[in-house]
This record gives sequence, C-alpha cells and structure tokens, in this order.
Amino acid sequence: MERDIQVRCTPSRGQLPAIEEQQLFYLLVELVPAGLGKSQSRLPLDVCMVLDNSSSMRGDRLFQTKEAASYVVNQLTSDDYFCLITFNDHAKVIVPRQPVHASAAMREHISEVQASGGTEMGRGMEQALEQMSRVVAFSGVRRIILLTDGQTYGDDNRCVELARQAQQSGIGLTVLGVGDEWNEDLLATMAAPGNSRSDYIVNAEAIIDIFREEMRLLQGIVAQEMVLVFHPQPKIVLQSFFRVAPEVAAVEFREQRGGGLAVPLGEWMGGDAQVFLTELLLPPALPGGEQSLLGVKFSYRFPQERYPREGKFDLGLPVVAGAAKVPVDVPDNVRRALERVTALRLQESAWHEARRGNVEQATRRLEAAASRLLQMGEQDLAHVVRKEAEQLGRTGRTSAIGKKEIVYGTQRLGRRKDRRGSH
Amino acid sequence: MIICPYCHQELLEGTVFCPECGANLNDEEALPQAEPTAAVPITLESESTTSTGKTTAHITPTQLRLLVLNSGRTIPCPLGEIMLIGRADPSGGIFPEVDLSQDNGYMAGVSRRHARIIRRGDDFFLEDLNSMNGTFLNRNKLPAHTPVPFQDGDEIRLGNLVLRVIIEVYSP
Repeated sequence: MERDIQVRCTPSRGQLPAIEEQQLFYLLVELVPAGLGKSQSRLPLDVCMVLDNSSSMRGDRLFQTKEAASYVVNQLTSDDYFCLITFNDHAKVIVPRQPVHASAAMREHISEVQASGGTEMGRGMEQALEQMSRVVAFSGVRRIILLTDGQTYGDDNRCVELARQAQQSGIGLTVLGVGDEWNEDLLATMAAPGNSRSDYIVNAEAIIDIFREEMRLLQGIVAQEMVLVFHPQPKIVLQSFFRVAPEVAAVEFREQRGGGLAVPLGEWMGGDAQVFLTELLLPPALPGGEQSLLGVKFSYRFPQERYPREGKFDLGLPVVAGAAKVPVDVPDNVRRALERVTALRLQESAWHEARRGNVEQATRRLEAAASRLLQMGEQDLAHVVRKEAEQLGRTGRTSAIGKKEIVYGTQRLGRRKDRRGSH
Repeated sequence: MIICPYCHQELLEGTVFCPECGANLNDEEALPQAEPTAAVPITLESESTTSTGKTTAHITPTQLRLLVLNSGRTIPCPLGEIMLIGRADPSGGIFPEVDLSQDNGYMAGVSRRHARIIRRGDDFFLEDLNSMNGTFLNRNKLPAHTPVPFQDGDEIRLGNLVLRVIIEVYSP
C-alpha cells in the first residue's frame, strides 16, 4: 500500500436545520497514516536546552536536570547539533551550538553548572535564539527545550515574543515547569502554537522521565512541516480550534495571505494519533439543500522525501428546511472530543473568573468541570477539581499545585483511549 | 436557540455541551453519581427521564409535607421513592412532584430540576441536582449529587426559598 496520511473529518451532525439564527457546528479532524506501519524516522536533531539555574533549583532539582541534559547528549550523534544555555539573573552559554562530537567535554561543562540568583527567562530565550540562528542548512528537527521552576521577573511578554520567533522559523518549543512556583499561564501561552507543548514536572525525581519521553518523541518522526488549512465558506466563522489527542489544548491559528486559516503543526513526533476539533459558527438563514461548508487542506512532508504532499477534504451537508426537527445524532468520537474540550474550557474559564475576582463564578465553573469529569469516568481528576473548588470557595484564592494538577491533568485526557482503542 | 436544562443559559442551536455548566444538552443521560464524601451511601435505581409522578403503591404510615415559609403554602408530598423539586416547565417536559413555580420559585432562584427527595422506607434523603443557586439543609450547603438524610423540623433552602419539613407518622 502506498504510504500516505489522510485527513478524516467527522461532523457533529449529519444534517443541519434551516433556522433563522446562527448555529454552532463541530468538525473532528483526524490525521490517519496509511501504509506506514510503525515506521518513524530518526532524523538529524538540532536541540537547544535552556535551563533555569536560579537559587531555587539548588539541590536535587539541578542535579536531576543536569542528569537529564547528559542523557540528551548521550542520545545524540555527530549528525546532531546540541547547545545548552543556563539562565538566572543572566544567561550563560554553557555549550555553544555545535555538532555532537566531543560529548564527554559537553557533559563536563554541564556538570559544572551551579545554582544561584533570580530568574530571567527572557535572557535565556534570547541566547537560545541567537545560538539557533547559527544554522546554514538543516533538514532535520529543531527544538528548544526549556525548563524552569519559578516566575520570571518582568519579561513575560518578551518570552512569548521570542517563543513566537522561534516557532515561526520552524523551531518547536517544549517548555517544562518543575514544582509549584512557576507560571503555568506563561508557559501555556508560549506553547500555544501547534508545533509546541508544555508540561508539568511534579518534582525533581520526575525530570529524567520527561526528558526520556521528549527524546522518544524527537527520535521518531512520522512527518514534517505539517499544516492544516481551513477554507470556510463566506460568512462561516471558524471560532476555535483544539487539539484533542495526544493532548487536549487550544491551538493557535492564523489567517493566511490569500485566504484560509492556517494551523502550522510542525513535526508529527512519536507516532501517537493526531486528532483535532474545530468549532464553526454558521450564519443565520442557511439556504436549504446540499450546502458546501468548508474545505480542509492538509500538507506535510515525509522525512527523506523532498517534496510536500497534500490531502484534501471538502465538507458539504444537507440543510433541512421547514419545521422538521433535525435529529441531534452526535457521533461518539465527536462527543468524546467535545467532552474533553468542555472540561478544558470549563477549567480555563474558572481561572479566568478567579483572576477577575469573581470567586463564586469561578467556583461554579470548577464544580461544573468536576461533574463533567465524573461523567467521563475521570474520578481522580474530578476529585482534585472538587477540592480546588472547595479551597477557592473558602479562601477566595486558587492553590498553586491544584491549578497545575488540573491544567495538566486536563491536557493529559488526550491520552485516554476508549475500549476500541480509539480517541 | 436552546436553553440549558440545568443552568438556563441561552445557547446556540448545535451546542453539544453547555459552556456555562458543562451539561450534555443532547440526551437525557443519567445524572452523574457523586463521589463518596460524607454522604449516606445509597444505590439508586435508574430514574426515568421524565418525572411524571407515577409511584409504586406503598402502604406506609409516614407522610411527608413541606411548608413553604415564603408563601405559607403546605405541599403534601406524593408517596413516591423519588420526588423532584423544582419548577414546572411543560414545554421542556419537566413536571416536578414538588412544583415551586407558584411560590415565586423563579424569582427565588429555584431551578427547574433543583433537587430531589429520595425515600427509603421511612427515611428521607435530600439531593441537590447541581442547581444554579444551591440547596441548603439547616444552613449547610449540600454538595451536588450527594444524598443527605433529613428529619422532621429540618429547614431546606432552595436558592432563596425556604421549606420546613413536616414528617408525620400515622397510626392506622
């Protein structure tokens, strides 16, 4: 079988009612590899590690982080590039970007890193971009892996700006927060584009596992330069776009010159299923009959192939006029995706309300999220959310750990499979 | 336009889960079971989707009545195992056994499906159905979907509407 990646779209309903008002509509988008088997390619890697060495990292945190950095170096060969930057009040280039020949020397430099001072993540990001710009031609996978345990001082916007610069030049980001004290909102914003991710490391012992997982992902590439482009019909608005598997997260999209809304997704790493959900707002008074709603284009390039490929899907649905009630038959996979997105939105809305001081609204949202999670069979996470709601109701404040557990617990719902093994 | 049956939010046609309260709008799914907190563990039989007041014929000497303190009305409760308390909504197919719409329930913040009373023999339990404005038993707010026992003389508050429990045991 010819190898290929198809884009499979499932709408939330098979027919649309012709009504006077606007209506919502959801489209599940699954990327389905065919003829690939388990094949993932190990491409050349260009990895930049940006590590917090502020005084709070002293002790086991820094030790484990240095172990993780050594682990990464050990996984790389002379075809790969590596650089390492530490940041506290200043940023220091510990290993300038270079091919991995003398890994022993690199590990030596890493072992000498000490922890002291405050946290200015922006400086670390600046150095990372500076190092990563020293590239002539590179056809592999470029990644910045950043780890922090605290709040950066006053340069949040700069961090996001620098993250975007990297992402737009094809460098994906993995941003990791360890412990309770870091800013989950900042890291989530930095990781919002489709080629990046953020994660929560509970304690020092868990650091090495996250890096092992990161290397597993980086060393198994299914496809590169993935881009989804949506062309909704005039007056149809693409309101929101979410990744549903392997993680649940809102994903940024942008208008393309020449029309369409593009979602750059970067590399398909690790071979896990990729599933997305779009929310579309349809205009009032849709005409009856078969209506074309939108076109979806998916372009990608297989490793070792020179030219990108393209898949397309055009969605049209019958619009049923008259007073007939159109049955609401939401397919299971769409409903499951929506459950996860609803859980995500409810808890995000809760934090939003809490930030604005609307404690009662925030608490209610968390309680609603807990009910939703219970219905999904997520007892443990529902319990954490309920406890956080109680704490919020009692003290008027969210807890640093609770919020992180909930944000990342929700993100990880994307890894759940149903009985049939599908998402 | 569709209305969320739990929180009354106005939503666009095509919405599947209410963005305000997370309820599934499209089918009458079973209500979520509460996680065990300090509640009395009762196993409930599955409830039919519309409460129509059909009851099994119990011969029991215990009669439950609710006195609405706001209006002075006494509501005799039917002898069912499960009684819905809320506000009637014929177009939504909601017919609570204890209908507080005539007691200014809407203004008092009583949801259409606000709470329910579960009867086990001569014992009564109160359960909040994840209502918008809460259910209180003797000033204590009940967590949603957590049945809690109540007795004669107890005070039940739904939103701003207060009920006094009257339980009478009849001798034949």
